[in-house]
Amino acid sequence: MNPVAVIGRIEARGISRRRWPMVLLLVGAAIIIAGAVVAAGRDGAAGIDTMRSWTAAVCLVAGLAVAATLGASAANRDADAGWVGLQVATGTPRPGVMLGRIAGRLAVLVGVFAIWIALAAVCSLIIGQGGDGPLAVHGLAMLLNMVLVLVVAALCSVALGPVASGIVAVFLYVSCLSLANLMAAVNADAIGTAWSGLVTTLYLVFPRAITSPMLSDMQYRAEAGVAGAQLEINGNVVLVPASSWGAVLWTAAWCGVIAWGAAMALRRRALS
Amino acid sequence: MTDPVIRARAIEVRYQRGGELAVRGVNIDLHAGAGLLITGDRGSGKSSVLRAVLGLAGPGGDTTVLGAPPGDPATLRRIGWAPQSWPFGFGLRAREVVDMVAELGGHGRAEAARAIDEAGMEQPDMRVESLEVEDVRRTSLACALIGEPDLLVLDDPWEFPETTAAIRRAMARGAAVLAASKDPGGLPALLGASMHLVDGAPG
Repeated sequence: MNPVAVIGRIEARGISRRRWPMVLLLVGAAIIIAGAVVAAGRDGAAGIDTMRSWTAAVCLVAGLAVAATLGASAANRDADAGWVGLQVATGTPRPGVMLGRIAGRLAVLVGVFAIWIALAAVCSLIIGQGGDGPLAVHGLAMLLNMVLVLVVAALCSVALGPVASGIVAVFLYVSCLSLANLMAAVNADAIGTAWSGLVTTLYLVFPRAITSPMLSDMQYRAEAGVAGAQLEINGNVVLVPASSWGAVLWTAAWCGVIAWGAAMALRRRALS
Repeated sequence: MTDPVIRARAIEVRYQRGGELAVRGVNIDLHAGAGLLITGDRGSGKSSVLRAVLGLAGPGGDTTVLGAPPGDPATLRRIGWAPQSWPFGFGLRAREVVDMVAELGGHGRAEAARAIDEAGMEQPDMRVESLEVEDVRRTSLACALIGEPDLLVLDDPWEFPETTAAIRRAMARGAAVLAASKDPGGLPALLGASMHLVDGAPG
């Protein structure tokens, strides 16, 4: 088997047996179930919005916690303790070791989101809302956002400690989210033209926080809750549109570049 | 005379740019079938010398290991590495760690099982975070014994009968053995040569 796949498999196995990913997975699952219980008590669109907003909150808050924690542990402590050194000493090139470590963490992240999305779909079915495809699409959009957080944290973990790596990754995601909101404001002529050039340039260059059609609609109606407060700039309610496929591909490409950067960064790090 | 397995001149290790040298001025000539023990107090640079030989910590100076620069992936596959302390990913079973090292080195599970047996691991199916320190050291030893390497590098090996037997077997078949220990016990006599480090330099 390819060494990257071997390391990815062993990392995913080790992490999935640890307590904190299981705790975060179960907390997210409990909130989704609680949302379904609350949604079952409401009729029509209100019930659907409730189910969706509670699940979206899980994808954002618990998703950030899972992604940042996974990425932030990709190098630092294991590199100092000798685990990364043992993997490198088998003759696997350092970039391959780091890619394997990131791949294993991505597998865990995908698994967690798959369980949450599937659970939300089952809950929706049980309370009579159908499988809720838009909610599943939102889960996939948030998964890509969290992949971005994970790879940024992994890149930082080559040089920084786990807490600092996680904080930087979350900060970068929040910055991308803010840029997407500001770009929506520019398109709606809600902010001055003096800033629009800078905002547009930054938006075009940086990774883009992905907004699903479901969240775009709920945010505009002020029904998204924690997952997306209604955007009001200079007294105008601004619609943050759903991301285009171009934005999705751009962010996915950025994730690949950052993961590659993390793999290259490990080449220069002293290992125990 | 054949080329040495390790030929190192003026090894230098520095962990941070602009920081102090952890190791300086260490020369090594280690031939096939021979052994070398590096001794010294905690923080004297013993482990850093081993990491420099493996290419894990950036070596300065002129060093070749099995004819290649330190860290060369093909050469690393000919080296058995037993790191110190608790160097395994939490959540894994000890056997899975050894299996991983075997698989990455191009060996099968049978070879991993042989190494586990040779190292005397008593609880290979226990998770590494639950292991006694003695079993951690044996797991580390098992990782080094996979594939009958041409060079054994042992950091803080505990002197189990299995350790002694493995070193004897390795040297008898022509492998070189480089070890580092704060408490050498009977290792100097077993390995035949030793070097004492003080503050990162031969003392």
